[in-house]
Amino acid sequence: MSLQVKGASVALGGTTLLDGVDFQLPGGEIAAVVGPNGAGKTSLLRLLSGELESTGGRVALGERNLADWPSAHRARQLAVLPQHSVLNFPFTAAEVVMLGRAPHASGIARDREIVAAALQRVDAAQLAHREYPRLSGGEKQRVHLARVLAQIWEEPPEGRRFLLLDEPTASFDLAHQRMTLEIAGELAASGVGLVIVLHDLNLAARCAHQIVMLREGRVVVSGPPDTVVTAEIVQSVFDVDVHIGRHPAHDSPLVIA
Amino acid sequence: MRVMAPRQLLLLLCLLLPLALFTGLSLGAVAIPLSDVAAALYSALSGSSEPERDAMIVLSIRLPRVLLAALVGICLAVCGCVMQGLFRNPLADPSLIGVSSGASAGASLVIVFGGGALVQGSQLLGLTSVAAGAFLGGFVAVLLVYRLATSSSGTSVATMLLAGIAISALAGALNSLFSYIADDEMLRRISLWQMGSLDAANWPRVWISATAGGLLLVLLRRDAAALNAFLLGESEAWHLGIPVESVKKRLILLTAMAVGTSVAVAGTIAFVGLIIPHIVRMLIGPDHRYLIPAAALAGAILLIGADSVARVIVAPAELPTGILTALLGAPFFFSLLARRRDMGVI
Repeated sequence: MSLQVKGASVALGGTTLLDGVDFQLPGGEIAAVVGPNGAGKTSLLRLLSGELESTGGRVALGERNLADWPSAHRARQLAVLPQHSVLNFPFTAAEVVMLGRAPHASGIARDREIVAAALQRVDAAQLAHREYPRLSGGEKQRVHLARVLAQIWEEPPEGRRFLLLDEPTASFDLAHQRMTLEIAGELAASGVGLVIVLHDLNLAARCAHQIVMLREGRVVVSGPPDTVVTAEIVQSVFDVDVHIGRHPAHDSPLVIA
Repeated sequence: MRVMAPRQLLLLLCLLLPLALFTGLSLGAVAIPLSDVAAALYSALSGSSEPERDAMIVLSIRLPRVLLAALVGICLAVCGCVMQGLFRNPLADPSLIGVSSGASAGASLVIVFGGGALVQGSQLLGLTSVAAGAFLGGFVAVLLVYRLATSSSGTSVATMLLAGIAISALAGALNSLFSYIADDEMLRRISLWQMGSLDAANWPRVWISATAGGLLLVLLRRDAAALNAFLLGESEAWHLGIPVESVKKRLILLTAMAVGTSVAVAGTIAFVGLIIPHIVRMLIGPDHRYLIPAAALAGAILLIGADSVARVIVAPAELPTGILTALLGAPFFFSLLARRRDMGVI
């Protein structure tokens, strides 16, 4: 029931993006991927989504290699929220979310319920009939969040669900950042495994069960937030002096730069 | 922003199409009343009595021509939808991937080097060798564009766009070269062919186009959802479980086949593939499950209409249809650009 990477490397056009990466995510857990710019965070996400193929090593979704799943079966178990989207055709927000139901055959009535519920969950029910290209950046990103939620709304016959999020909070205000983390927590509680690329170490320490710290395409360290977010590690990876305190409400490590 | 529900538009177009067909059969150098058109069609269907002159005109001259206009309109408009979806660009057009310019070069090649006898005499399935040359030219151009844009990591539509421009330029240069060597008679044939006209309509051409259009519509049925997902971006389509590379390949081959056929039977008819998807999208939104059938109907209606006008506007002579669609299409295109600029969206 896990998403697993063993000894995978990725090279594109002669540049090594990832080098011998090991990673395992059981269902029901949140893994945060952190690291400096260009460390390979997005590449790891693209490897986990099957978009990039590894040279050597393997990427497995459940009992099968990721690449061996028929595409619709894979899409029912694994959804991806990219950082940016290029959509510029005048779909309504509800139609965009409906695209998330593409890999399913659950019937139009059920799909409509799920679309409405997903929009509701991301605080975007009022956007349903607005044209997507006319929404603001944060509104667009919420619509896409609803789309990937709709994609993995219910447990598929294959029995597992994973969600990969690339910087989901980047264009959100504080309230919607918090909403996103709450949604991630709820999904994890219902058995979904999540991989979230985050820039903010404090957000990562607060929401993740495990943190994967990357630098130059390699995993420097991975484990629970308390063992990863330490002054020495953060200093060596990010090359800045920091102090580590405790979050007063969540009892998680707090990086003070 | 949307004007009507998709089903309303489909219903409306289904009502307009027979109207356009009948009008197209009735208009021409000799105007034939609609009642006589109906009588001629009825007598042909029931197989009764020997046809009169008007019935002859309707059945053996105008009917194939009107049907050919409808089928070419279907192919061009539907392929326009496919190209705009594939390139995620509402200003895309089937000619982007080189099919029109390749076809022109193929046709010119045959006209100049095919030899008079070959060009005049030989026919294959009702197609002249010029039409066959055009089809092959268009198809080869698309294959080249596709190969240039395909690497081990898949086909890049951005590279296809650039390769399309390069191949179009190359085909244009070949076309100029052939025109340069051509004598006056050949030159006139080349330029007439490029204007695009339906005046060579005959039943074999109708059957060939019907096959192409039918294949296109049937095989596209299951790709409408994939095209919707493509609008999000290729990565997103992949994440939604669309087998991106195989869908792309199928769409490009289908476009080459259908547009290649329509160019072969009717020359290059501009702007139908650009405008029709646009108008339909403005009316009912970009969902390809409705966009494609509605564009097919609207394309048929538009081209029947344009061809009817082309037949009567300078009667008893007639204008090449391609000139008329370009004359109407270009101003429309300008207004689209202005709208895009004013609204900041498409």
